[in-house]
Amino acid sequence: MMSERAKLGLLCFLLLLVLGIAALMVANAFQAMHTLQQESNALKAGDVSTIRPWMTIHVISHVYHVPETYLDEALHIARTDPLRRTTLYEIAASRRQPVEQIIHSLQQTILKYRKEHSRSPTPTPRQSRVLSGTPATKETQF
Amino acid sequence: MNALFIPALHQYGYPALWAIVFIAAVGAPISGNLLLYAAGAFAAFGDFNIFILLPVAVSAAVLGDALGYFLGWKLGNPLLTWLEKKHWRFLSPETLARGRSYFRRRAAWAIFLSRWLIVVLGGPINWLAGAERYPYRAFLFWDISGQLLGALIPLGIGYTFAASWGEAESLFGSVSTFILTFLVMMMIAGALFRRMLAHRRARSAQAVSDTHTQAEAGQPLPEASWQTLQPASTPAINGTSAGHNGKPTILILISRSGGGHLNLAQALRDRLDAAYNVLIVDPQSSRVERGYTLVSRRFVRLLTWQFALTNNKIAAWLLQKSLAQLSYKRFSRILAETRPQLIITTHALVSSAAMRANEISARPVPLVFQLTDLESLHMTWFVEKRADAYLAPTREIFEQALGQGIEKDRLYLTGRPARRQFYEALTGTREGTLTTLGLDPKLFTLFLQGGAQGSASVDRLIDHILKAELPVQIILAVGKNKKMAERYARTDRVRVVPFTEEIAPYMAAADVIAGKAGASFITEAILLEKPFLVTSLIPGQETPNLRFLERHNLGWICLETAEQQKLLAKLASNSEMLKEKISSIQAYKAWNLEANQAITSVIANLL
Repeated sequence: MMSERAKLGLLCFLLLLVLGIAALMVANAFQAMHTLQQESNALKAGDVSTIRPWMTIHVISHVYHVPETYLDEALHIARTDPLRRTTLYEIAASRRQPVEQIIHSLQQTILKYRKEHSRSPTPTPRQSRVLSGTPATKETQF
Repeated sequence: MNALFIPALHQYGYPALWAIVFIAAVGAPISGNLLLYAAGAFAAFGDFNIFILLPVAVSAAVLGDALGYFLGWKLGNPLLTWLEKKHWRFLSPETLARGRSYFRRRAAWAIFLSRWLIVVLGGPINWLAGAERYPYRAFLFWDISGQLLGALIPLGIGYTFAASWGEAESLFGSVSTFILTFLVMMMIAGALFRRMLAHRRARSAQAVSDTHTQAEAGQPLPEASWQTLQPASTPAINGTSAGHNGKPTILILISRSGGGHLNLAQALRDRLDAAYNVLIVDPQSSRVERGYTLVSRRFVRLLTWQFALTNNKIAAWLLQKSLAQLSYKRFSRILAETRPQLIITTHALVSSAAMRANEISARPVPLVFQLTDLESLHMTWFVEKRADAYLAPTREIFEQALGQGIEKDRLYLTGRPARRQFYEALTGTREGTLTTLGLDPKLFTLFLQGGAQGSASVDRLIDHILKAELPVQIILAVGKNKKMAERYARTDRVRVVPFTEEIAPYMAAADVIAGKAGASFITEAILLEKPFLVTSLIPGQETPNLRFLERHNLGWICLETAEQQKLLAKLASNSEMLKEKISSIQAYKAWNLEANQAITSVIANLL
C-alpha cells in the first residue's frame, strides 16, 4: 500500500502535470484563434491557397466567385457527371491523381479567371502555401 | 475517416448524416461531431437546410445513446460484476466499487457534459449509465439537454464559419480540452486539499492522544492542547449520548442561520423525546452562524439577492451539490459518532450533505426532511427527492412539494409543531405575568420583537406609540441587544425582556404579537391564539408568509410606522377587531394541532 506522504506527492505531481497541460491548451487555443483569424482574412481576400480537399466545385465557386461551369471545364467534368457534386478528394480518387494536383489546377484556373474578368489586381496567394501542393496538414482537411 | 464520411454526406444527404451520428453515439470510434461541423458549413453554402440538420442530428444521437444505454443495461452489469470478482493488481474490488459509487453520484453531470464538451466519453458513459441502472427518464432528460447543445454548437460553428469550419472546429476543440483539463485540475486540487486537511487532523488527533497518555501517566498537560479535544465535528447544541438508555437515537441536523430552524428542531425534540433520544446538532462551522448574523443585521439585501438568485432548479442544484461536496465528510463524522437510527433535517442547506453522508455511511438510516416555511419553500428543498419522508407544515407546502415531484407516499401533512412551552403557556394567566412585569392587566398589551432585527424600526414604533399617548403598553423582547435593553430600561409602559429560552409566557400575556414575518414566530403566535402584526420581514424568503397570513386571516401587515400606529390605536379601542382574528386563528390552530399528531406515527413507522 502507498503511504500517505507518497499519495500527497503523487497528487502534487499530477496537479503540476495537469497545470502544464492546461497551459499548453491555453497556448493551443490562442494558436487556433490566430489560425482561424488568418484563414478568415485569407478567405475574405480570395486567397486561393485556402482551397481544401473537402470542398466541392459548388463550394469553390461560391467562395471564390468563379462560375461552376468554368471550374467544370478546367477539370474536364461534364455537366451530367455526378462528380460535380462531390468533394475534390473524391474527384482525385476517381482519377487516381493526388488531390494536391486537382487543387493546384483549380488554383490556376481561378487566378486565370480573375485575370480575364477583373480590372482590379488579383489578391496575391500567401507565399507559404502558394501552389505548394500540400495545402492540407490537419485531419479535418483529410 | 472524414475522407469517407464527407463524400457520403454529399452523396446520401440527411440519411448518411443520421446513420453516422447514430453509429458514433452508440460508441463506435468515429467522430459524428466533426461531420456536424462539415454539415453546418455545407448548409451555409446551400447544400443542406440547417433547420432539418438539427432534428436529424439530435434524433440520431439520442437514439444512438439509448441503444448504448440498453446495451450497457444488458451486458454491462455482468461485466462489472465479473471485474469486481477478479483480483486485478491495480483495480481492486474496493476501487471499482468506489468508482461505481462516484459515477452514480455524478451521472447527470457526466451524461450532460459528455454530449457536447467531452464528446469522446459519450459512448462509454451510455454503457456505464445502463450498467449502473441509472434511471432511464433521468438519462433521457440529461441526454436530450446535452445533445441539443451537442448538435447546436458544431452546426452553428460550421454554419457561421463556413469555409473555415476546420479551423473553427480546432479552436472549439482546444477550448473544450482546456475546460476539461481545468475540471481535472480542480478535482486533483480538491483531492489534494482534502488529503492535506485529513493529514493535519490526523496529526492533531495524534497530539491529543499523546496528551491523554501523558495525563494517564500523571504528567502535566500542556493547556493549549485541550482545544483540539473539542471536536469540530460535533458541536452538539443539545442532547444526550446516543442510545444510552435503550431508546433509539434521532439526530436532528440544523443550521443556526436563522433562529426558526433551531426552534423547529426543538419543537420536534419536545414532541419526540418521550420515546427517543433526540440530538440536535449544527454540523456547520460556527463561522456560518456568525456570518449569517452579520449579513442579516447589516446587509439584509445580500440575503434577499442570494435567495432570489438561487431560487431556481439549476442554481439550487449547484448550491446544494457544492455545499454537500464541501461538508459531507464532516457530516459523515457526526453520523459515525452519534450513530442515529433516524436523521431529521430542518434546514434545506444541510439536506444534501446529510443525504450524501447517510448514503455513503456503513449503515444508512431513514432520512426525514422537516419542511419549514408556511407558504412557499425555496428550491433548495427540492434538490434531493429521495428522502424517506417529507413533513409538510402546511397545506400550501404540501401542494408545492407534490408539484415539485416529491412522491405522495413519502409526503406527510403534519402541521408545524412548536416548542412545548407554547402549549403549556396557555395554562398560565395573562394577569399574573403582566402584574409580575409591573404592567396593567387591563391595558392593551403589545409583544414587540426587537432583538432579531434592525432596531431602528422598533425605536420608531415605540416612539410613535409613546408620543401619541396611545393606550398601549409594550413587552419588548430585546434578545441579546444590550443597547436596546438599556435604552428602554426606565421607559414607562415599556418592559424589557432580555434573551430567555422561556419566552412563551411573555407572548401569551400580550393581546397582539408584533415583529418579523418568520414562519416560526407566526406559528408560535398561532398556538398562543394571538393575532400577528408583521412590522418587518426579510424580503424574498419571508415575503410569501405575508400571503399565508392574509389567506388564513391570522393578523395584519403594516410595514410603515405610521400605519402601525394607526392600527394599534384602533385595536386598543376596538376589541371586536381582535375577536374576529382570534376566531380564525383558533380554527387554524385546531387544524394544526390535529395535523401535529401524525408526526410521532410517521417517525415510528420509519424506525
